[in-house]
Amino acid sequence: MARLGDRADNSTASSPRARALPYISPTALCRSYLLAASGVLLLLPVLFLGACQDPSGVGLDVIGEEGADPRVSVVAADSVMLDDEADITGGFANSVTPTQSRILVGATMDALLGDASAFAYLDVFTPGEIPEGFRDRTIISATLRLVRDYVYGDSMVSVPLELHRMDSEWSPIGAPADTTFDAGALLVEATVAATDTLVVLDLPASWVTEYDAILRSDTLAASLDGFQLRLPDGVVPGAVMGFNTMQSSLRVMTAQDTVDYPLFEVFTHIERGTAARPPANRIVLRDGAGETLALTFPFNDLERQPLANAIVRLSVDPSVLDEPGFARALPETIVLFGRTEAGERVAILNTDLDETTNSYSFSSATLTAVIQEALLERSIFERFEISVLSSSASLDAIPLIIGPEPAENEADTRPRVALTLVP
Amino acid sequence: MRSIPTGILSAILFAGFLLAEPALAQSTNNYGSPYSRFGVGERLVLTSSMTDAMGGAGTAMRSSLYTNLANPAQWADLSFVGFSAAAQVRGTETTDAADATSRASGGGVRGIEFGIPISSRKVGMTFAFRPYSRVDYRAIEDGEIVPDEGDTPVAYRHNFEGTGGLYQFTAGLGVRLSPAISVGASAEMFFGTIEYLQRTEFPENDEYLETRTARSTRLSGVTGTLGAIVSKNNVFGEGDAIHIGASITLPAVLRGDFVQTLGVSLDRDTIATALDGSVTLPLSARFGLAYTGSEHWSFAADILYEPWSSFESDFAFGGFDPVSGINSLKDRLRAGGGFQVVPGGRRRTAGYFARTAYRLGAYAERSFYAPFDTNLNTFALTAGVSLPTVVPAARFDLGLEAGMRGTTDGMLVRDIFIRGTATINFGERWFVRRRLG
Repeated sequence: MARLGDRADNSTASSPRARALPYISPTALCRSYLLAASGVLLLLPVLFLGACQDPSGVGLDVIGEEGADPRVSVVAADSVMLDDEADITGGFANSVTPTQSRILVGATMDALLGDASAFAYLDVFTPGEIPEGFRDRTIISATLRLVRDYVYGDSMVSVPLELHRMDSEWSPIGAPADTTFDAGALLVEATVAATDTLVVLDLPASWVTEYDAILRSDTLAASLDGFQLRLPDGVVPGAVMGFNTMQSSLRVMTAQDTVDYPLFEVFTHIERGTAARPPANRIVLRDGAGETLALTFPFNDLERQPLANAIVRLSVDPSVLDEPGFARALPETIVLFGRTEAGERVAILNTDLDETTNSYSFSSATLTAVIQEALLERSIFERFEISVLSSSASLDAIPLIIGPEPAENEADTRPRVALTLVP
Repeated sequence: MRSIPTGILSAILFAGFLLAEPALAQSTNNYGSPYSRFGVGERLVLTSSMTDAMGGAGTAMRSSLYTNLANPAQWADLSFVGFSAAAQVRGTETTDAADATSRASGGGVRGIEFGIPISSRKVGMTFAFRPYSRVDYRAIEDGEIVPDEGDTPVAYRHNFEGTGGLYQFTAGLGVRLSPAISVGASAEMFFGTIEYLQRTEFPENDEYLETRTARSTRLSGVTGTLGAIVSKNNVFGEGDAIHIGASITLPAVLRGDFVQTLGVSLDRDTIATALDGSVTLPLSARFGLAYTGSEHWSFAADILYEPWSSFESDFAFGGFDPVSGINSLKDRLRAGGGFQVVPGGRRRTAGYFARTAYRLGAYAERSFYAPFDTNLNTFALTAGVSLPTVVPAARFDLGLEAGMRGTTDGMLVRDIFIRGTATINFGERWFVRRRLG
């Protein structure tokens, strides 16, 4: 007879009638369940952490995956043309965005790329470190020191310069290259050689006296509007000089101190004439002329293919720019943009000139992702654009090779994108 | 009615964790044999932890403790509310004709079963979840490509990977019509995704993106299983019994869709139009014989037959393409047998190792795929122990399977595999009406 607390027989083939069983305490019961569960739980790290593989080519023939090797498809641009895009030639001479590392001053005639002229605006700000006691001592001289790092045109000529004061506030931010600001009275005249690497302009004593207290105060930014650097009216010396804004400064001296005030806001006004017709199968993109190069690529036959890499490549012909006694240069850095249907211009990637191959090549994971979107018919860009890097004003030009269509087994030198596809 | 015991609650929580297996299998690097490429993947057979260790011979093997999924008629023997959950680890070494080898290992859920005696030893109900097939191959191919004229070559690596498989959910009933005859029926629901992935990476160049192209086939469908067991006691001696069993799972028509995608994880983009279609899995027929000599030992043997030559599909799988007409699938035939010894029989007072069950078995199988028109055979040994716990109806089973499949002739490969399984089997008596003496 079963008693209260007895358990039914749990053996595999026993009678269904309950029999008396040894008493099992709740503690022992829990312990047995925990023991069993622990044994299985100990396996879990083995299950989920021990899983591994030493992959190899073994079994590849059994799996039977074939014909899926990556392949390169070179797609030439089906549309290459120059379009209008204002050059932005102003900014800050320090690391503040937008940066502008060069100002231009000069003028030259250029039958190939169009006549060019430029003049600049600049101001200064108080340096971070000032000698102790400087603010209590009188300034006795101020000198504008301009470090030249660029020449366009005939580098052997002399360039007359005028430094004017600015009497009203001006801002270079977002100003296109054809902007002008009202300038004030003439402060300094000087003639320098286009090859000089350092141009020094001594400010007159009257100006030093006028701005002595301001230069030593905390109100410099609000009280000094800077300078305009230009050629005398009507003068075309034959060269345009470029000055490095980050290395140039206003040197201020007292009887005991020499303090360099770095340049702050800078801007260059540029005017360019009409360029001559380029040679056959060439198109020339000019910096400072308000131009951009617009490209489109036909991806119709490659839609919905996985893309591992995309290289946009532009081959250039430097010989187009060659002229004895006249310095013209290819830009060091150019920028690839995407233009949306709404007209927004989005910077994608910069690249530098490869002098070995005379080409510019854009390649990055970002560019690959952009072109992959185009292959999936989801691109937000209706075309690509090329411009010279705007943070270093110049009159450089890119003579791009746009033809002819290559013969079979001949390398393609037209604007192109090399797609590494994984079908 | 008693409240649900702690052990069953713990087991149900554990089962909930293990039910995440499909997602876990997708996220962990579980790899196995290249032969899992064929059809819907490597066929997995789970009967019970007892009969799996006996060469998989479970069609006629009766037990009131183990929920045997080989034959629904066996569920009529249930006298305990039983829960069983199994996990497995496995290792595979693959060798080709050039003696190159690849090693892979993995693990996952082997199955979860829940049995309820509606009427003890007369009517039993079972619910089970287990994998039906598994795709878990990976192979690599290295190469170089020149991006453009004059550029330096860029190295790439193709990873060809297969993942996924089909899962099977079972719900059914076993009924004892008489002391000698039991019948059973169950509904089987199949579901799962089979994915072939090509992942191409460029390990030496950051500017190259890894591309992933996946071809995924998602399927689901329902079918049924019928089974019967005939038993006769005292055949050769007092206390022995012979059991003859048969079961058949009917062909299953699975409906689903196929889509080709590009990208990684949730950022997949569809690059080919999704296709709808169906797949017909062939029937699975089993016939088995079991002999229980005494409370100490049992012997069982089984034959399984699946006519994969009648496999139909609107989608392409490894070894089968309805468009090109490729069909490397053959009828599958498996024969296995094994025995179990319990030295102490049913004596509760016997020592621990005397109450432990020891199992040994073997099986041979002709695979359902024949790549390059070559039949592939598998030979394996199975073994296991069933460790008693302080609760008489709860046991902890460990199983081991080791075998060889295939050949290194031609372009084929030979697998040597080993699998370890751990199973918790809980049994408790519910719905017991207390009687006062």
